[in-house]
Amino acid sequence: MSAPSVPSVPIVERVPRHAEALLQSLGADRDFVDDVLGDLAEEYLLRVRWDGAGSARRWYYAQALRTAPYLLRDWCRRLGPRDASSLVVPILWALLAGFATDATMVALLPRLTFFATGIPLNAYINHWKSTGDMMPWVFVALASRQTIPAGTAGWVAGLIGKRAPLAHGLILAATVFVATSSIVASHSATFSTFAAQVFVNATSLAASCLAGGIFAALWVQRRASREFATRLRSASV
Amino acid sequence: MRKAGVGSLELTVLLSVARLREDGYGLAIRRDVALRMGRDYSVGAIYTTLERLQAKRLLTSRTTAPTPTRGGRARRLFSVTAAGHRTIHEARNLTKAVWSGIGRPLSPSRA
Repeated sequence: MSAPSVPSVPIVERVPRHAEALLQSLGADRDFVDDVLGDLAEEYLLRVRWDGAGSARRWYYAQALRTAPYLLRDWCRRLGPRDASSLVVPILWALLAGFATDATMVALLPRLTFFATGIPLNAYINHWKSTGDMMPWVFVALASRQTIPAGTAGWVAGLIGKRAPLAHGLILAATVFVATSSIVASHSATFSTFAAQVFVNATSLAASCLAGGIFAALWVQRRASREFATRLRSASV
Repeated sequence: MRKAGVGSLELTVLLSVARLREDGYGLAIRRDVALRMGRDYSVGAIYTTLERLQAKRLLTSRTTAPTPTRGGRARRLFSVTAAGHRTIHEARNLTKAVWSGIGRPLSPSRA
C-alpha cells in the first residue's frame, strides 16, 4: 500500500485546536506527540475532503479521546524524580488552600457547626441536612475546598515546570480527592450513605477537572499557535 | 542475544512496516492494519506499538522534512531491521508448525 496523497493546504487554522491542545498538555514525549498530532492532522485534512468538515471534526475529537490515555501513560512511564519532587510543594499548597477556604467559609457562614463535628466538610453537609437551604453553598464549598485548589496547584506546577500541566492537575486533584474521601468516609457523622458522599465528591471532582482542563487547553493552545507559526515558516523556507 | 517476543498486534504492525517498505509511517501503517484486521486502532495504539518495536530493536526510524499538511511536523518513516526480519520469519515458521496437519477447513466431529 502506498502512502495516501494529501492536499498541500496549510492546516494551521483547520485542525480542532482544543483537542490538539489537550493532547499536547498530557506531557508525553515531544517526538511521540508530534508523530501523533502530525498523523491526526494529515488524516483530518483527508477526511475534510471526503466527508466534510463536521464529520472530520467529530472523528478528530473521537481520536483525541482514544489517544489521550496512551499519551498519559507515556508521561507516567517517563515520570522521574524531578517530576515527583515537583509535586510535593503543590500538594502542600493545595492543603493550605483547603484550610484557607474552610476558614473563609466559616467566616461567611457563622451558623455552621464547624467545631461540633471536627471535620469541616461534615459541617457543611450536616448544616445543609438540618436546614435544607444551603445547597449552592455546599457545592461551592466542596468543589472549592477539595479538588479545585489541588488541581489548580498541579496545573500551575506544570506550567512553571513546562511539563504536562493537565496531567499534573489531574493527578493532584485525584490524590486530594481520594485522601479527602477516605477521611470523610471514615467519619460516622458525614453522610447518611456512602453513595451520597461519593456522588457529591465525584461532582466536585468532575467540575474541577473540567475547569482545569479548559484552562490548561487554552494556555497550551496559545503556546502551540506560536510554535506552529514558527514551524510553518521554517518548513516553507 | 536474547530473542524478542512479539504480540499479535506487534507482529501485525511489523508486517505492515515490511509491506509498506519506503512508505512506512504512522498513518499508512494504521490504514494497512485496519484494512487487514478489520479494526480501527487509535493513532496512540499504533505509535505505542511502534515505540515498543523500536525498543526491541525490530524497527528503526528516520524523519523527513516538516510538511505544512502535518502542521509543520515531520513524518517518521519506519523500516524493519535484520532482527525484525528474523522475527517475521520465526513467526511464520511457528504458524506453519502450528497449522501443520490441517489440510482443509475443520468441521465439528459428529458423535
